[in-house]
Amino acid sequence: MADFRGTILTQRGRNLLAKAQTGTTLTFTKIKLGDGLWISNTDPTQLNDLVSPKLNLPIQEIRVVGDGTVRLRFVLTNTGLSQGFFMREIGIYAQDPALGEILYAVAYAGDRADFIPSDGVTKVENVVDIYTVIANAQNVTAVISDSVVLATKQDINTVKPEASSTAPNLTYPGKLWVDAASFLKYFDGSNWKNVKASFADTVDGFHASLTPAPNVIVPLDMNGVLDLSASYVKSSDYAFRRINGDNLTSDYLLQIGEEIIYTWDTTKSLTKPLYIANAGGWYEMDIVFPVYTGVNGRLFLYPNNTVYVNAFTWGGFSVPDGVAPGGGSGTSSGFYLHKAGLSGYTKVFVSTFVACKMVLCILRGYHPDFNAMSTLVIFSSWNDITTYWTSFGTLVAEQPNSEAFIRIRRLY
Amino acid sequence: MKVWVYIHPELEILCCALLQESIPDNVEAIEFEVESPNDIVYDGYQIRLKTQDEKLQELKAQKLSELKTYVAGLLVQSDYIITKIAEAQIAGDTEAVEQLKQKYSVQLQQREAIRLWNEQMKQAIKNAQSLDELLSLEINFKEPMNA
Repeated sequence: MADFRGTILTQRGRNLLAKAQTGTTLTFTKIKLGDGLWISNTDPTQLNDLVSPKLNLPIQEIRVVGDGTVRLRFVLTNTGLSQGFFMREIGIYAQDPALGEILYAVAYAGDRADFIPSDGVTKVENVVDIYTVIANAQNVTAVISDSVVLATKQDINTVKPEASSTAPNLTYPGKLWVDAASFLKYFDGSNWKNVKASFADTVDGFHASLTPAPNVIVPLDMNGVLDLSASYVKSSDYAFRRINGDNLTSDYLLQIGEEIIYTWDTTKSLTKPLYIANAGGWYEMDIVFPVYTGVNGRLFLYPNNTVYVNAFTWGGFSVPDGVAPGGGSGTSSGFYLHKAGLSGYTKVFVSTFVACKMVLCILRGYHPDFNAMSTLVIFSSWNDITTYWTSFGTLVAEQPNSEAFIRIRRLY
Repeated sequence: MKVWVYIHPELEILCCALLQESIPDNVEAIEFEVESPNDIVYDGYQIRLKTQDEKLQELKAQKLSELKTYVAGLLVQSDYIITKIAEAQIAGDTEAVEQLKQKYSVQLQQREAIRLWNEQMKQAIKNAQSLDELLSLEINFKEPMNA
């Protein structure tokens, strides 16, 4: 390394330093390197620029040392340097409020200079610290460039997360610490806080339409449990995720394996649009009316949110407990799902292919006709084989009853 | 609820969209406020709300169908008795027929009561003058007190 013997303040630098003692901000702007040869009577205090500037370098870091000096750190690199030179001069530049950018201080190595080769086979990258006087200036700053950064070992030790049972002594906002309980924490400027995952979902707080990027790590919750509420696990042909459909306002295409849940208070609305886009496939659905109110109403699923008058046929039978079984069939204007007074549990299998649009319901519930628990099986089909089933549809209850819980999973 | 009613251009059937966005493109739909999507009818000339009488007749047909299924379920439980008596009659065993009638007299009286109740219910359904009156008819057979 070239042997520079201290920096010398220029006259302009001294004038600026005097202003800095009275409150003017002392802002260092850059470093220049040069190969100028100083003749014997050169007075460095009178220099306004290097004798032969060759290379401008940004300041990477400034630190007020505390003894009236400041340390300026820059990265000496020959990247982009077309012609090599002997580094004899170093100039420190600062911003004077009256004169603009001035040469604040210089250092000279003379014949003890190093040669900086041009950018080519030999790569030069050195972190260089240079000190200069700032006396008692209170406001000292520098124009810091992030364009070239070489971290020292101390730099890395400062910023790397620490794993320890006690909080690190060295703190700054954003400092990371893995505590003894293996929680990753960060320093917010005042306290250590747990690092939380941030989700930008919007369907019940989850963004159902987003597909996770490849190689995304599925988050664990604060208890270390795999939390799939805001993301999901997906293989090439099956997704594992549950979303809440109550806030949907437009059709959402379920992925194969994905399921959606709803609550439906039939006392507030007899209709429940499901907002599921359908591209042909089959589904399973659970409908639970947990409260028996004695209401004797039917439940229909209207595909495409449309009542197709008398376009459906159905057939089924019921087996009330202690009563002989009975059967029936008929036409309807939607898929006929439910008979037993809107109470109990219904399992529904749905095929939505254009030439095979049908629904099978298996229901166990309290049947008001018989005042007894009853088992029902109802097949319902949409016999038109040309109309596409593009939206899963809307559930419609004939009578208000209670709150229902619904789960729909796409199987194919 | 609001529905948007139209004649499906390909299927040529009456359709009610439950959401406005579900109306197919290039279809002119008429908006109705209804209690049920089944309240709309196309009479060959126009799309309109069903009259009270039309609703009444539909509900009567539905009630009669439910009654028929319900009564069949009640009677089928004692059909084996009728089968036994019929077999004895075919065999010409009049003594056995009388014995069976004695043995199953309670069940036979109950069947008679069911049939009587069925006829009364059918008449009540047919005679109903309003939807409320019809809906108040409960299809629930109760054993006669002296049975």
